[in-house]
Amino acid sequence: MYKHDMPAMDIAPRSYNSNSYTMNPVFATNKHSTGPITTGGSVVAIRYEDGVVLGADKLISYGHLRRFRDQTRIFKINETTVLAANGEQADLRYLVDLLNAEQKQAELRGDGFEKGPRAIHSWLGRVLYHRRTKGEPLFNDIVVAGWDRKESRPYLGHVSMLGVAYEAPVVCSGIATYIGLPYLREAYQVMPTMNRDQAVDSIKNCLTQLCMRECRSSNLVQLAVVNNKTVDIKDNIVLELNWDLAKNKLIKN
Amino acid sequence: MAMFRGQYDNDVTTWSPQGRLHQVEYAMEAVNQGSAVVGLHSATHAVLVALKRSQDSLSEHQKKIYQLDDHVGFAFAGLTADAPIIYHYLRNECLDFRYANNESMPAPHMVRDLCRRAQRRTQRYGGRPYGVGLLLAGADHAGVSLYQTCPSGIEYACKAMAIGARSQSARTYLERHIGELGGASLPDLVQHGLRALKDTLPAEAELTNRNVSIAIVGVDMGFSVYEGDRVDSYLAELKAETGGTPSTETSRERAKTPESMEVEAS
Repeated sequence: MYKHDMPAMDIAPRSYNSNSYTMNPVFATNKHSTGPITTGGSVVAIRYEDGVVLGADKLISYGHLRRFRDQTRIFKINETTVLAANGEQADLRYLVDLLNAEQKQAELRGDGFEKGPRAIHSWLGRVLYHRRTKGEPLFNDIVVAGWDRKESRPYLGHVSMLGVAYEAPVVCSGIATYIGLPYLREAYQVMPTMNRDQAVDSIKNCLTQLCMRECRSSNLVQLAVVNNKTVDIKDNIVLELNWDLAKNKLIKN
Repeated sequence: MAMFRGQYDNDVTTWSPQGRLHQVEYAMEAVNQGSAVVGLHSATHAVLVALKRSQDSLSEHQKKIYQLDDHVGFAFAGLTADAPIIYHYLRNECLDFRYANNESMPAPHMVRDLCRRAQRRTQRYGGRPYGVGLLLAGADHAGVSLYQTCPSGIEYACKAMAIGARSQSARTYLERHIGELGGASLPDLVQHGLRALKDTLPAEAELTNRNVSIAIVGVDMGFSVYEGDRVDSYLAELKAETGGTPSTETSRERAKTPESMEVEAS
């Protein structure tokens, strides 16, 4: 049995599937994953005229426990691609390790070809689909954001844990799919050619609203801004949460 | 030096006292037995021009240019039977790359993969190296590229190159005109290729629409192979410059070409 098969029974979160003997990670005779353990919360992203803005908080939960409160969940792969995901953060970091190794190989080759967002998005979709088919999925809904050099345009895509990959101007993972996506879609429809600052504001607003509604979230967040030149990750942004609604005070929007 | 060759050339894993692998060199000699292929490129287009051989008057001329994907293909010289093997391998690599990455495979990656494979075969007992050299032409969003590969496993990035029988004459032509290639228009580029190829012809042979293949790829143009009637206009332009009229191959010419006796290499 591998180490990751055997968390201590009293602190391990219950299997999401059932309480059966075989599905309990301690006794499972297969090595297949049963559910996510150390999880990240939502990810939100929006495309603007000259790039993409992606936001995620810095919390990694262990079931209901807010276990790691200052963790990077946004990963820059190269100057044209950045990604983040909800769900099992160990799985995400495993994928990022593979992508970083490939990026290092590309740099060592030095022939000017490296995987851009389109290739990474496609590759992740194939890997996730393959794992789901084997019955040992990687528990992540991944957001891939970047700049497509071949077509000179911003690139924003989403891959679900089942390997469904698509491109869209607004993309979210986790609870944000229900709360944040409509919010950001409206912002995009009103102004599809928004500029960078407008995109950053809408992401920050979205994260603030999310933080107040989603349990496993935090107001300490990171933002990644991608444009045609580089990926810029802004760390340690603290969102201002307005809890006046809890004091029965009217909030003006 | 020559008298030691016989003792050290039985298999590819034996060095000669002079530090040579004779089997690898013999494999490179096989490339020289094949008919000539010429490759050249400008800033925007790459062109491959190949001389096809036919075994006898009953046979079709042997295929020399293989398309690997929308954006890349190669021409080969050497052992005819080895070419489709390499073609299938590279074609699968292209398709796998497209499946995983939703993008065309960069030519440098393909060439490096192939050359690693070729090198392995020079270091393994019981096998032999590939008997073909390739001129691989590809295009991507950054530009066009031309690579030469060799049975030894070496890859060369080229501005222009010719390999195969009597290819030195073609290389001489290309060296003389190398300065004109970078900014050449596509029709001019093809004419340069044809003129270089013409220099490799044996006495009394001619370029005809049956023994010439042309392939063109560009930044905005997918890899396209021209054979038969579709090379007529290019050959006509070539003839117009040098005088005379284009002709289809006659039996007199076929009887004269010594390569028709050689079965293996094309």
